[in-house]
Amino acid sequence: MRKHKIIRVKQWLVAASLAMSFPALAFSQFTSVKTDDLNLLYYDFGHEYLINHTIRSYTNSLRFHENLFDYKLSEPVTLIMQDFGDFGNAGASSVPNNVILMGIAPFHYAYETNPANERINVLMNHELVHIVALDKPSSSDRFYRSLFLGKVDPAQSDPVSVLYGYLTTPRRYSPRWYHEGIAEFLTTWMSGGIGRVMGAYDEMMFRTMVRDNAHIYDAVGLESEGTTIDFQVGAHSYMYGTRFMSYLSLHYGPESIIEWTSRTSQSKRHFARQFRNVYGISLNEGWRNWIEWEKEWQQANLDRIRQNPVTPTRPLSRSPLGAVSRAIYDEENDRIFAAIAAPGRIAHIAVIDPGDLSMRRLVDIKGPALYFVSSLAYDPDTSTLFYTNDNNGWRDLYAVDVNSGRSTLLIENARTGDLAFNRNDRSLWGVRHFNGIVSLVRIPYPYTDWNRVYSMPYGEDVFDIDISPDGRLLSAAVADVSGSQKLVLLKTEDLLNGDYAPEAMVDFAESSPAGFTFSVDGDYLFGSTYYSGVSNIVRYEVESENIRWLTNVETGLFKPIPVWADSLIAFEYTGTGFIPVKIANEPVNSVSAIRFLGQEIVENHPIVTDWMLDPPSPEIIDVDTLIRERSDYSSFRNLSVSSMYPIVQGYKDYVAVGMRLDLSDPLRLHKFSISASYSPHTNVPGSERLHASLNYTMPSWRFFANYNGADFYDLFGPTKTSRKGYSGGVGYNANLIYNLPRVMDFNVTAAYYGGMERLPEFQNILTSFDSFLSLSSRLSYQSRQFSLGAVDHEKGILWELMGHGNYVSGRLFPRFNQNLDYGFALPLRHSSFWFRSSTGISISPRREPLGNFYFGGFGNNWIDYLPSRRYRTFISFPGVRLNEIGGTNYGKLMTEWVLPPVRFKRAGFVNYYANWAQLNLFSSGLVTNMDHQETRQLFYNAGAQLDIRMVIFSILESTFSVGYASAWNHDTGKRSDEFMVSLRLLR
Amino acid sequence: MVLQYAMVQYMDSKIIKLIHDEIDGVNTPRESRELHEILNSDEDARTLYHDLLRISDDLKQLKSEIKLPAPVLGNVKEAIENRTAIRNKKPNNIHPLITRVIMPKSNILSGKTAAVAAVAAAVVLLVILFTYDLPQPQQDEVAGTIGIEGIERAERYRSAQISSSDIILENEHFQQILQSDDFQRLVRSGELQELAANPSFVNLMRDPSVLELMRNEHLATLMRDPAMLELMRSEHLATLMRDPAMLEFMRFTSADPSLAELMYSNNSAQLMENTQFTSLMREPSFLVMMREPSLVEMLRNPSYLELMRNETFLALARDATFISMFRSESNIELLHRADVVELQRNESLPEFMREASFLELAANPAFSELMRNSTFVEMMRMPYSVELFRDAAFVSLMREPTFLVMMREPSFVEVMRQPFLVELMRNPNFLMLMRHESLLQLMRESSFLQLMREQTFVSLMREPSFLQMMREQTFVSLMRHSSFVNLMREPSFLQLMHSSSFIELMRQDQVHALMAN
Repeated sequence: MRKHKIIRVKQWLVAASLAMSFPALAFSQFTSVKTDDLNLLYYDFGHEYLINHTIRSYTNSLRFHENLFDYKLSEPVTLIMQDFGDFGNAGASSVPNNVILMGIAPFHYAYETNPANERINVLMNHELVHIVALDKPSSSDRFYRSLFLGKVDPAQSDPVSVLYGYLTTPRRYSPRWYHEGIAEFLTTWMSGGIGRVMGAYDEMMFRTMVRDNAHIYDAVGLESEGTTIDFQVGAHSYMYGTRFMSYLSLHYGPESIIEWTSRTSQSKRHFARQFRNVYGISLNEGWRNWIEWEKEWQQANLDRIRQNPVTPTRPLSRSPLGAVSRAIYDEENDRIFAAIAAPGRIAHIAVIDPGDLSMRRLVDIKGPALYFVSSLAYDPDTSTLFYTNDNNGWRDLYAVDVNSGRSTLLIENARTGDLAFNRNDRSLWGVRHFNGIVSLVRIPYPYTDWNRVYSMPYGEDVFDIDISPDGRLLSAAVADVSGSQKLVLLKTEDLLNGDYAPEAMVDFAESSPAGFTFSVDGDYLFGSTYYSGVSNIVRYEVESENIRWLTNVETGLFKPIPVWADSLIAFEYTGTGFIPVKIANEPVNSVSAIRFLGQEIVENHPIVTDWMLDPPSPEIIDVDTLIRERSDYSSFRNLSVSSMYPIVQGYKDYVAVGMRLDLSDPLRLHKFSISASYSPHTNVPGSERLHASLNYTMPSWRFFANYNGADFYDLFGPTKTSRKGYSGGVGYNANLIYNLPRVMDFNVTAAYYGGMERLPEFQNILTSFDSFLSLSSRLSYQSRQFSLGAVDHEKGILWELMGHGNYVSGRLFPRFNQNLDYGFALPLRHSSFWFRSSTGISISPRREPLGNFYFGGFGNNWIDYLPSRRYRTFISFPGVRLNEIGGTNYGKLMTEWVLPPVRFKRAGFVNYYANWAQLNLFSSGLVTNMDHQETRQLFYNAGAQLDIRMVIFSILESTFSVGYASAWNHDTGKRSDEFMVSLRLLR
Repeated sequence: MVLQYAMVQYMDSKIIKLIHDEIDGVNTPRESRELHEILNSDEDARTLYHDLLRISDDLKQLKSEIKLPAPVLGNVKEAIENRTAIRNKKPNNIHPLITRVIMPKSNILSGKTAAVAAVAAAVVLLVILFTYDLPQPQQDEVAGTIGIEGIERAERYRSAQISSSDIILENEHFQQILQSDDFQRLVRSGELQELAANPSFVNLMRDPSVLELMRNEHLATLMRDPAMLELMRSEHLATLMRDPAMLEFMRFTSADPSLAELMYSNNSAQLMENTQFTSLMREPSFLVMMREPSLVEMLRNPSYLELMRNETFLALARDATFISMFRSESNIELLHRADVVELQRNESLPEFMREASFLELAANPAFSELMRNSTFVEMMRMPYSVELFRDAAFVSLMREPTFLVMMREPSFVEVMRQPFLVELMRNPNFLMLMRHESLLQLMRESSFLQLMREQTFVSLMREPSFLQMMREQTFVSLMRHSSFVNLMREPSFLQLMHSSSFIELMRQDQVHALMAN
């Protein structure tokens, strides 16, 4: 889950993050604190200090939303408090249950893209907008919810459930910009003006687009291309959504936004139709109007800036770098270090020569952060560059020898960033986030452990630190719960004695003192501020405490590096990323302020000031009277029916109809589903007409049973998974390594099959026995990476070791295989080349079907739910029929060229559109029965597959695939062809 | 006024908007018609409409009187309607039905009078400022501001914000412990995870009394100390802390900074590793004893914590008599006596207390009696005295009533200061002698005491045979004669006394009689 700001995570994302985050906690004790409206779950004693404040913030915010939206909570919200990442975030879902996943860590404040005021209050304000916007039902929604016993979460295995999902929670099927737009809009006013509507970064982004005459996406293009094309990726949903809502609010009044987003019995089910209902024009027309207005608005701001001389800048790079970290200048070798991340390039630390503007890659960054990529610090005496990996999770501290490029892990899960190096004693300083508290830490040589220097009270954050060249002073930006931010200077000696006593404090009012860095002589600090609404570079003289502006620019300058006495390096914002520029170290006399859209709204619609929330103080909300229960959480005890609905399935070539029942606990750690259907067609033997399946999953374990198993996808195409007979089994899964992108899994499944006529895995192979015991296991390791905006992995390794054994009548038929994939990125953007190999051996007689491997075909069904690129699996061999090639041992090698995807600016409508298309070319060779001349087979093939990602109902992604391959039998020279068409539903 | 406010509060926002727009002249003909229909049927709406109309007329009247330039008037009007209200706004409750703040008519600050007064006040203020050139603060004198001439600050609405006093957290100070590097090392070691996964520990940490204890600022400060964290590493702590007496004890110790520092030192952590000690800590009587002022005083000497690791001490500490010793008022008084206080500061005392025999003695009421004897206390302060307590025979001697009596003799005290006596006391035979009444008698003789200072006599006293002789009443009687003592000062006589035949001789009654004469 990539996070930047307060992100509304889609339903499946919440579920996925719960599933991925909780394996280690699966059997840990969650504690539940319940009020009438809330079920707060937490797992760590260290988070208890926030419980009451969270309940107060939640209740305070809920009361507001109940009034504003005339909303009545349909069920208590399950709020999970966690500290899985170093930066604050949250996600909300309302299907099948109302759930908020809240990270308690402090926000990052890069470029003021996050508010600095008290975060739990902000998160509750924001996430509850999502809950209301998703959960609030009309009378017809309520009817369908009672009909289907709940809010239906579409299941891949039964895609008819999409329709039921739309009937029960229609507003869930709205684009992300819609949900984030209303949430950001309201959060700003609930926080008394702190938020994206008043955001300087957002103004900068649109101002720059207008200045550069760049394309401003429409509502379709935003989701299909806009959220992938530049370094800001998904953040565009927030910025476009909030801006559009703000525009509507300014022109039609803030209440119109509420009317549009609030689901009532009089409202239209679909968000776009409700837009027309409220505003009298189509969404597309409304959006066009906004873009026209935005151009005028930003032109006026540009004119204001140009009232004074605009500071000239000289680029130091041939093209924008994308997102950049704090940069460091190595004076001795005249080079700049910066961590950069941009679409099409794996995030890395670059060494930039400011003379000839050349760049070289030093080391890759694992887990780059969206806006600041990584934290850097440099020891010039040893040419050691310190940096952080896993910047969205628990950060690891690394060092790289700049000369040799050798990288070393210093402290795993250091949870520390904002690094600064003290050359005086070779110590490294940083800011650590843990349990929602910010601590200044010192990491002495040899950097294998850290010492806490000072822990701030909750809600006070320190960031962007630097240390003076003499090691005496530490500069930092400090934010408090009111959102006020100051630049402070502290004596390192005092800090080491446990005294937090700022020597100087400079209040930057509503704006943040960003990226302040000491000059080489330590006399000045250079940084940036949005004081005038535009981020300009300022110079602070330590001795006199005077501040002077050095620039007046049109877009924004950040992260200055005082390199020379008369000039600096800074990073200038452009639509495609930040570009290093050289500017003069000369004060300017005049800088004009720009106008903020949010300010225009306040002045024209003061009602938004009434939306400011009272503080969630104990005087207003008495937690003791709210809390009903404190207990341990049990997933099993909290299992309840989430939905029940009719289904249609395929059994062999016939239709079956039936019902499906789903149960789950609010955390979705335990899920139980049961399906039963009946095939009325007379061609189906009476004993095979009833079909049933049962699945129970819990962390690490899975239990299943089938009786004449039927499958929806068997209604379409050649691949069949329905089977006569019965089976029951259990599976176990363990995460041995989970440190993205490094993942190692082990799983094992044991099952008993009875009454079978065909092998469970190979539909075209008849069994020689009708009952057998099957045991399969898989150990896999992968470390695969992709760059921003990628649609597939672009480099890395995947290794799998698999074992499968069938036990029949006292005899075991085991077979083993291993797969190894290796790929690397090509210079073409988002293009890569892969080698995929597989070998296997079976210790069974050749004549026994249970002991053989079988290969053939693409493997995709016409309508499918399994991965689209199935030709990559070891049992596929496009060009020949399914299971056509068999053998007790084999070797297979595939080469694959993944071509750059084509993104669509607009291909479709608001509800149905295509995202991208990507062509993959492949060729492979397969040899079976290598040890037996008579039965040995050797095949080659070559083929291509084109995948087109489509979006239905705004959020349901599907993939349409077309493939063609030819295969040759080396021995006979016979050629066969295969054409494949497939639509993969729900991704 | 109240009624009017309530009326507005519950009036449909649409009606209010129609009224405002009507007065502002921006209603469409259809909206005007709609409003007048409402006014005909709704008395509250009618009242509000007329009130606002009157205010509007007043404002128009005011406008005509002041005759401000049109652009200025426009700006002022805009500011009155919007910005002033916005910037000064305090956090609000949600009143979704109210779209404007409506000033009640009866407010004395409303209308023409207020406006004229405000303008007049502003003019007066400006005149004063410009006429008298009062010193104004310079920009760079205002600490913490960054406004600079020529640099425009962007207008960004921001209402009064939440403050730290609005955020009440539970036991936030505990975070200071959790954030420390030492504590995190514990976490990384895995031990803490186990503890955190231990429901009993977690429940313990949730215990109100424990939480209350954790609120102790001093304890929280202490818990940042590596030693305290080391202490927390102990698996026994969780068990112990569930004992109310232990909690009470911790509360007691943490209230006193110096004592707390002492109690939660490295020593304590090591003590926690001692199962005997932790077992002892579970005994309420022990914890009660530990809170006795007398013991607390003693504990201020770090050496005593060392003592607590002593197995004998641990065994003895379970003894009710021993414990009661620290509770007796007289003992407490004793511990406050100057020489005893001095003794407590003496490094040798903890050494004593490590001696099994001493501790055994300490539990004996007679020992308390001894401790009241300043001679004994003085003796204990002597560097060599510890060695005596390692001598079983001496310890046995100390239990003898005669010894106690002897300890009261000033003369004995005098002798005790002599190093040779210690040497003598290591001699079992001399110790035997000390049990004897005869020595006591001799000690009361100044002449004997003088004799004991003679090196030659000391040498003689090392002779077993002589010591044996000194136990004989006849010889003791003899020694009480000054003439005999004088005789013994003669080197030649002493030489004679070294011989075994002399001792044999002395045993003869006739010789006694002779010597007595």
